[in-house]
Amino acid sequence: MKKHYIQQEAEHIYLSPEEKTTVRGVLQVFVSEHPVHRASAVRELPQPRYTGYRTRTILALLNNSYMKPMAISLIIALLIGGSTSYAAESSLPGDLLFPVKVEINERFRTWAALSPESKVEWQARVAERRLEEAVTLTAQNRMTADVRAKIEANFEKNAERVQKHIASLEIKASEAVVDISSRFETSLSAHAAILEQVPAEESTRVEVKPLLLKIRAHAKEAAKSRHDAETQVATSANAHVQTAAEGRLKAARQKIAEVQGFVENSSASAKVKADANAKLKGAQNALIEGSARASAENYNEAFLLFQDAHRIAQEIQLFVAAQQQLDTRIQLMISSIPMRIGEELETEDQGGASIETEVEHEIDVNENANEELESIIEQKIKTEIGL
Amino acid sequence: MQALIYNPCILVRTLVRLRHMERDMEQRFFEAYEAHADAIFRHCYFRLSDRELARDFMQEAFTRTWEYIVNGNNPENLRAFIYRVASNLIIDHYRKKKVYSLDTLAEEKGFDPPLDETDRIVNESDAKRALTLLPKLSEPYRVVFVMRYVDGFTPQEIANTIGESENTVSVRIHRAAKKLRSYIEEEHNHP
Repeated sequence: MKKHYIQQEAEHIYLSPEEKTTVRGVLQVFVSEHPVHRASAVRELPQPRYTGYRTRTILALLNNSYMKPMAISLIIALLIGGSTSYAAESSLPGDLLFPVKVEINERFRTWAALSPESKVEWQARVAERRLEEAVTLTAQNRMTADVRAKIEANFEKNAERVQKHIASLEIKASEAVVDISSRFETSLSAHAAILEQVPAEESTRVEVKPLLLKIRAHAKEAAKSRHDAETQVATSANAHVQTAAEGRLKAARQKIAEVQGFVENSSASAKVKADANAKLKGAQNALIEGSARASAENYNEAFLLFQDAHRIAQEIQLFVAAQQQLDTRIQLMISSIPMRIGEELETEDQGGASIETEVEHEIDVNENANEELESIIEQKIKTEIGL
Repeated sequence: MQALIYNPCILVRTLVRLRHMERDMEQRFFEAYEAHADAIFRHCYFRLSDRELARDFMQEAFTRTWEYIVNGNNPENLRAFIYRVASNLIIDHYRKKKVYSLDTLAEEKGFDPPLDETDRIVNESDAKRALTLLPKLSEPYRVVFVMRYVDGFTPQEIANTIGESENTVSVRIHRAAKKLRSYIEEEHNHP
């Protein structure tokens, strides 16, 4: 279509090539500093369980332009050491691959967490991982002084970050603080309890003590934050407390049901299960009491009671989960040993051979783990191999 | 999500795919720049009567368009979108300046002028004059005139951009042309 003569005249005004290039340069800089978020891609990624916290893991890599060099080196590390980083996940302090786990895998996930909430969530999880490793090492009596120091240092670092975040949140969002510090507190307590109870030699116990103290200290701090936050919610305006209490009631009910199912289906020992169920009754009682307060419109106390119920249930869950994990690891350890016994004792007399069959037999029985049997087996193995 | 992290192959593939999407968007954006920067600049110039300002507004229009994209949007017609952004920027600019022009915008009750009639109100020899007299037009008249005769949009397209009805736009274009014509004649009579 022929252009209107006015348009033709207007086209005497135009951008000079220099002007055009200059502006383009400015736009390039802007574009590289504001990379694309693809909202559709966000929806494609599966969301983690904790509601309210989203981890846009992959997109974080694209957003963090000043950390792009790190992204590239991480990707290269993953590409080259692909299965290595995967294998590193189950490594313990002192293992060859452990640095990969901490420096690469964990750092990657810290950095890949986009929102501050998911970052803190992950850091709390890292602190937990150190505790899980500590428990396993203790069970295996591999807790030497400098392994313990490493665990302690890393745990301390992450625990402090979590506390700092909680402190910064405290002023703003009480209920979120209740959630985060409650979770952290229960996690620490549960792991500390396991660490204390795990069967181990005296020398190992001595090593573990300082770590235990640190854990308890942080658990205490988290408990205080949680308590303060709870009080804040409980003493806030009446309408708000009512909804908060109702929310907690729902959460507590769900949690108790969840934990009940979890304990049922867990592979923990009967004793552990019995203990857990007894404690769960306590949680249920708190619920009942709370409901009584609620119907008397005493929402402040109701909130606190529901919160207690939730917290107790959560601690039970974490404890049983950690116990289960420990059991699995001990079983793995036990089942991998008979091979060695066989080899070492080949030249032994009947006494040796009979112990081997005894161990193998007891491992079969051990499928339904019994705590006392486990420790007997452990002791036998240790004395035979001289660990 | 665990699988994503722990299986580097899936991770890398996802990254590569997202990177391609990102790059496609970038490519589209700069292609639009090369194609339309000039025209948008010109549009801004005839509405602002200031070359440097026009350049800044053009740049800002592209910048904001990119921001829009980055926030997860995907405008189908980039050219139309950028024009709309530029136009809105200019409208806001004038709103802030609170320029009250001499000719007020009368009620838009008017007839539908036949298009070719409007097109020749300002004749060919006066085209240059008309353009230089644009600053005398008030903003609502100027925007439709520029979009019609400098950018070459149809009244429908203009209506979509500035958010008025097509009829209003046609009427306004007609009146703008007539006003310019009267300014040109003024000049002839009083050089």
